[in-house]
Amino acid sequence: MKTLIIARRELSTFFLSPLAYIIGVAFLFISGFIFFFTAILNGIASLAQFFNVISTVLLFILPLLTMRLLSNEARSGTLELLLTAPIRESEVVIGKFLATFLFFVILLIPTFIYLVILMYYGNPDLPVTFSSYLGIILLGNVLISFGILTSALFDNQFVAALLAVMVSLLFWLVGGLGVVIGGIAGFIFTYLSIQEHYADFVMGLITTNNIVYFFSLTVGLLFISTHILRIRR
Amino acid sequence: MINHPSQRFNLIFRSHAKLLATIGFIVLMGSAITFLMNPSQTFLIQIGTSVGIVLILFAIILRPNALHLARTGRQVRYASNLTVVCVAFVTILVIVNFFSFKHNLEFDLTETGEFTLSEQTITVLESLSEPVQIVGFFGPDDRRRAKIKEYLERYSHFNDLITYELHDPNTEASLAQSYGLDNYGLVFLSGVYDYEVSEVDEQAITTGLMCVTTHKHNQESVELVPLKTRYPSDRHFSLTLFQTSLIFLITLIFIPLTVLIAGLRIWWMRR
Repeated sequence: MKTLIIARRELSTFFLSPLAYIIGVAFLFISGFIFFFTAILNGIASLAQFFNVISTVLLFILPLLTMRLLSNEARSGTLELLLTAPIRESEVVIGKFLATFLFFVILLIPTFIYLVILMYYGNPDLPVTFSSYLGIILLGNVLISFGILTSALFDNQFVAALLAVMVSLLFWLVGGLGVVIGGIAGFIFTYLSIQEHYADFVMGLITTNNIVYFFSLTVGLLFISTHILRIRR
Repeated sequence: MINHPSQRFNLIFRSHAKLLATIGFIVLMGSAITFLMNPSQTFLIQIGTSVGIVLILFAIILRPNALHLARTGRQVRYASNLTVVCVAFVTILVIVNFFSFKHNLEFDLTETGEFTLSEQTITVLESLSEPVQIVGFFGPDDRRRAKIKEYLERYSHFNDLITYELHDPNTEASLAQSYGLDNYGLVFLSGVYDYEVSEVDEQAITTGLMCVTTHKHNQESVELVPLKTRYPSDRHFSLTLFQTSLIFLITLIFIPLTVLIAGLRIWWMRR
């Protein structure tokens, strides 16, 4: 219940913050640009290319949404107030995660118009598009969790955002290193790569292993964030 | 007043004990990563491990009370508790991922069943009674490599009798030549029999499997296993200039502008 209260409070903070709108508008403008150039100009009724490119954009957009979640509270002193209240650290972290996740989903809703446009003019593969949306939502979960973790670590929100981008990029690109190295270490690096797991969703392949990977990474990062808050208490 | 050189030396090093310990820890981690990436570098690993341990021990000798503080300090105790809890939790997640990888369920949502083996292939795989090793030669930059890897993973996942390995024909040219390949291709090995193919589709792989297990060598006498042809729907469309401009306006101007105006309105009302 307290989690939901925090989530609601945080979501309303998003809607009151001009930065969230700027990020939202920038995201939709970039999305529209990618959609127009990958699907419309190529004359292909498929959002596969769109989902491939937009995932890279999310690596930079989502840390901007999450950067202020805990670091701003720590800087302004409200985090101490929050942590002295009869509330668990996990409720704070999950509440803030839920709010950001909901805001992200709200941002994704206008992109359904792209699908409607493709359905009107062509014949898109709807199950594959559904799979891609599932993939981008799971990817968003992980990126938000990275952002919350770095926001819990640093009081400076720009440092938190920068570190979140760097860590996300590392997890995104580590698969390439895995291919070069080979062997067991290569397999581990490839398995850790977010890109490897996300690509399957975009191609229309949903596997339980990919879902478990994204969920476990999200849960693991939120768990560590909770414990960092506990140390700060 | 510190005048004696040994006292001065001691003071300088004591103030840098933390730095020494950090460098030692980084060197140790570097050795561990080198061991994971390239275990053959034994000399480098041994040197790194030794230097790391010596630096940490040196730091402890210089400031033994820091070790005592580390064991009793509140913040440090919390941090070590956190490390233990996190390691335990990450271990659980690793185990869960391992089992989900081993017992993976796939849902192929593509129209043509792109990631699903055809009925004919499944029949061939089910009838396999002897081990088959598939050796592939495709360069790391070869786009077919990923495709063939995906196929071979699916085949080996379906039947444990199939194992596969991929090599680079440029760096392992002699190995490729020993299988009778000049460049890229797949070699199927079962007992004393072998069969080569250069195509990278399901039909070629299934045919290769059938040939090597039925001991047919002469490629010309072998007919490709007929697979059910799966045609994808045509996803191309063409638009007039007016339609293209309209979509441009909707996606690049109308949607972002609507969100901007709605956002400004909400912000203005609730500020």
